Amino acid sequence: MTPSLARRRRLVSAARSRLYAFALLAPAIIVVLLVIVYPLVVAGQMSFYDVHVFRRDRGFTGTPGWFNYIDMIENAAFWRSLRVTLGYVFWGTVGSFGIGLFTAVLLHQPFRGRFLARVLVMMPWPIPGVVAATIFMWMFNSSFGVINYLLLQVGLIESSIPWFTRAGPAFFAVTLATIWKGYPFFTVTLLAGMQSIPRELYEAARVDGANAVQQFRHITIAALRPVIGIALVISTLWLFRVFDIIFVMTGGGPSGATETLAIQIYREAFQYFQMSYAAAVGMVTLLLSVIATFVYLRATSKSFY
Amino acid sequence: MLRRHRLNSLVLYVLVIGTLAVLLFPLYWMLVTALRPGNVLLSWPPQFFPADASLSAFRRVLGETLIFRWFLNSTVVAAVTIAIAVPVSSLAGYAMSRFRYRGVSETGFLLLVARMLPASLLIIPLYILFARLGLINNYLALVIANTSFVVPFGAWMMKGFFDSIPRELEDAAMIDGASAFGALLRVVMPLSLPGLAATTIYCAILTWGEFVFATTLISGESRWTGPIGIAAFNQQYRIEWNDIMAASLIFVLPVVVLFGFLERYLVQGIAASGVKG
Amino acid sequence: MRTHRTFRRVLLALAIALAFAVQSTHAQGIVLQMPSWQATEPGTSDWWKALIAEFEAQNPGVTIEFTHEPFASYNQTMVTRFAGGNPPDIFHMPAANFMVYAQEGWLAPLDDRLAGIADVMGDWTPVQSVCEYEGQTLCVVVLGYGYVLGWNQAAFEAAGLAGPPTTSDELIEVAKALTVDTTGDGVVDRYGFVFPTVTHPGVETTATSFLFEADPDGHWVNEAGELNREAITFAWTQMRRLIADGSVPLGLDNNAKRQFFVEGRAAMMLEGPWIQGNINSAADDVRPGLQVAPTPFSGTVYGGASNVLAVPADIAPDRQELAWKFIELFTSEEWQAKYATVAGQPPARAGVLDDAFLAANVNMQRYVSEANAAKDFIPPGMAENYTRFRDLVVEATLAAVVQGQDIDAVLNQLQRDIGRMR
Repeated sequence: MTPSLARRRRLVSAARSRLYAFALLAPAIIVVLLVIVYPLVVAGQMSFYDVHVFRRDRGFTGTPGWFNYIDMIENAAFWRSLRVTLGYVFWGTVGSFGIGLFTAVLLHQPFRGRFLARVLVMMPWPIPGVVAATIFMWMFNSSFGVINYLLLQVGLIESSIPWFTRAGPAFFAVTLATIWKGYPFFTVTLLAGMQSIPRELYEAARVDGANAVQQFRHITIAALRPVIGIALVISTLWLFRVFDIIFVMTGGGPSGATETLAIQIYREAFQYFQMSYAAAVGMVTLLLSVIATFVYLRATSKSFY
Repeated sequence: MLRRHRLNSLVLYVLVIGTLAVLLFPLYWMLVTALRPGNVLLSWPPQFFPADASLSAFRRVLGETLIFRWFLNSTVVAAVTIAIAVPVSSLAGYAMSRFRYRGVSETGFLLLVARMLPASLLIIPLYILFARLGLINNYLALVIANTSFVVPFGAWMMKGFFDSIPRELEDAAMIDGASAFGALLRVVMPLSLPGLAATTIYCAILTWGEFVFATTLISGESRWTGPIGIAAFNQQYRIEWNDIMAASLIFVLPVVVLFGFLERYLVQGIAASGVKG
Repeated sequence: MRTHRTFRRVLLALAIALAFAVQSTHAQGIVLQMPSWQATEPGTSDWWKALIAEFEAQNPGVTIEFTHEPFASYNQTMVTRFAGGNPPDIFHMPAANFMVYAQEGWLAPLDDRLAGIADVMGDWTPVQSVCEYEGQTLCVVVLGYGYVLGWNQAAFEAAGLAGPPTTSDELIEVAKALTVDTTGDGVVDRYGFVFPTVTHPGVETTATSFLFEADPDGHWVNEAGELNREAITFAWTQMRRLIADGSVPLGLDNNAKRQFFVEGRAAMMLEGPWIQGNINSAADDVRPGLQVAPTPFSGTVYGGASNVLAVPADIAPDRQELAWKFIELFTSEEWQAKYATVAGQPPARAGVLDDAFLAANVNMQRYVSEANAAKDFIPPGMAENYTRFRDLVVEATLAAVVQGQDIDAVLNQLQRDIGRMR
């Protein structure tokens, strides 16, 4: 084969490969980006104008400027909301991932009744957020809730904790409800990931003298890294957007102790009808999500970019 | 040796039962609430085994509402969404896993950006979009919306699963004469059943529970999906909590059944890897 | 063969079903869309449906599609529809949401049409002023209300107390006496008074009621946006006393409040005329004891408009005409009277209920008189930004009353926040 023919062959197969790659991506691009591009562009643009309600029959009038962002920076409520959001996302992630990993490992072991256990453990996931929030609201009710009852019975507390009238306890209750809704996603995803790890690796490690913890760290976690990474990204992006659970349980109170950026965006958009300001806050949320995504994907995937 | 094995078994069972008891307690509380007649919801001390348990809420929900219609509607939307979203996600995830061209990673990242805005900011632009397409009060709008919500994560999830399948397997198949796509279908897909199962479950749950767009784009009681029906139990001045809890418990059953069906695929691993580390 | 015949039969059945399905979506004549959160509410929905049936009978070829929308997301759904250029034909909305539709120019002015029934509108509830925006009338009030005091007469008698309190000081005294532990297990079985103590608009309702007692001519802020510090301090102090006495169960929202009253676990609560629906749903052993009285605030009544009807501006003129005809029918004496007899709520139009009916329905008498005496809760100049203002008030009230923060400090913060409102 002459050198140029070989080179042409390589170029052709490379180009076909590239075409193939984008052909595989095309349906996703069509379905997602064509639908979402419009709202993204609207939100971005709108944040620079003064729009009360975004309407089909009206474009953006007036002079664009950074005024919404300046208002946002000068607004103590925004910074408080930012702090609350970061705390909420952090603890929500830690809790969901922790419980998810624990249950996945537990349910990866063979035992009789494992099928039933797996079905039961994922049941919080399809429960509507509003319903889950309501149950937790009653469980944490300061005068009549079962949580205070159990804590009092066991002797851990002396008097009922006012869960929703103090900032710390309210934040705890709301985060706990979120973790309850969020952990099954990790359980299912990690469990599925664990199935792909060949058992031979564990056997080889055991032969080499590795104990359970070492096997866990160096085989399970290592093999699951890509799955963990994307699961963390998906979960984090969800946590930034959670609305129902918090709104039903506390409405963002007391005094904004549980008002995340998502709650604030809703308030500004659909209670106070300042959609431009809401869009500005939304852009900040988007920026935070981008940063979180980068961090997680970088940390868990060596071959990313 | 046997004794340690039995002790391990015992410890395992204790852990499993204990964990389930704690994690599922709120569900139990939902059930208790659903069984209380006439909404005696906040009493002291809390009743773990209500003496006045009754199935009236379940009877009301099953007999006096259109819940079966809502099931049907939700199922139709979910089924069509899964049928589109899971294959689309898999193809995209495969591309993101196997190809490192410029633009592939960027597209993958852009897919995630699509999920970074809260629903409050999406609802009006999307409504306008669907209005322009003439899809208001049409389930197709819900299918499109839900698909666009699922695919970004579905694609990345599948990418993660594909990443853990060695590329040599497809290469071997292609050397044996299979086309690239054929290798994908016949070699890689069967090995990624756990990932497909997980993505299908994720899609089902997301679509099954989607409320904001369903309530805005669809109107009419017989056209409702489940979440709207459940929300409708909240009147302005009265809320029938036992009905809501009963309806919610009933409503999640199909998804749980689907999970039960898919669970064995979550278990299926690589039968014989044939590839050493 | 048999399978072929079955197959053909199934196909035929499917084809017929499909034909029916397609046909049913092509309704004859004009279909007016009227979504509402009251479409399945006991009482009011019966009245709406009867009204709609009458309208359809009077206007052959016109049908009204009366659909239910969940209440919690109602406004978001409606704003989205209007913004998307797809408004309903007859617009029923909670009065609290009125402002955004008015500001966006989404509602058709009704002044000319209302002038045509000026004698009717002369009898209309005074809270109709809520529908005014920039010199135009953009809606018609369906329900104007004044708050009442729901009180459990049986509980009062058991505690040896005479009738309901008439001032807030009396309320506090009586509430304390009514908070009892009937079973002797150290747990309060009935509270004297109940109001929401979590983030919820009901907190503002309660606080404003106390405030009106202190200053019958004032509001939370005056026209200059300055806080009415004396009256607010009085209101918060009274509420604090109730909580300090242990007369109020903590951590309840508005729905739990109604629940407690209806179960007899709270002897008194403030509520609008829709309390009748709650009373009707009470258990047989509790219901007879539940009574309705004027609110205990020395004669001032908290009130306003609850929900309104409007005509969207951007629908076709013939539809606007029909929507107006519907509203006109709604204002007729017959249907206003039925609002009381069928829906159980005080009608917006005065003088439609005969004395015999009122004598037989003591509670309705009370709802009507309180609705007429009500003082609108929206402070001057706050109508446009009312929701934001209300949320600030709710948080401030909770901080001062439930969390026990220093009242002056909270007032200072509230003043700053109000000053900063956009």
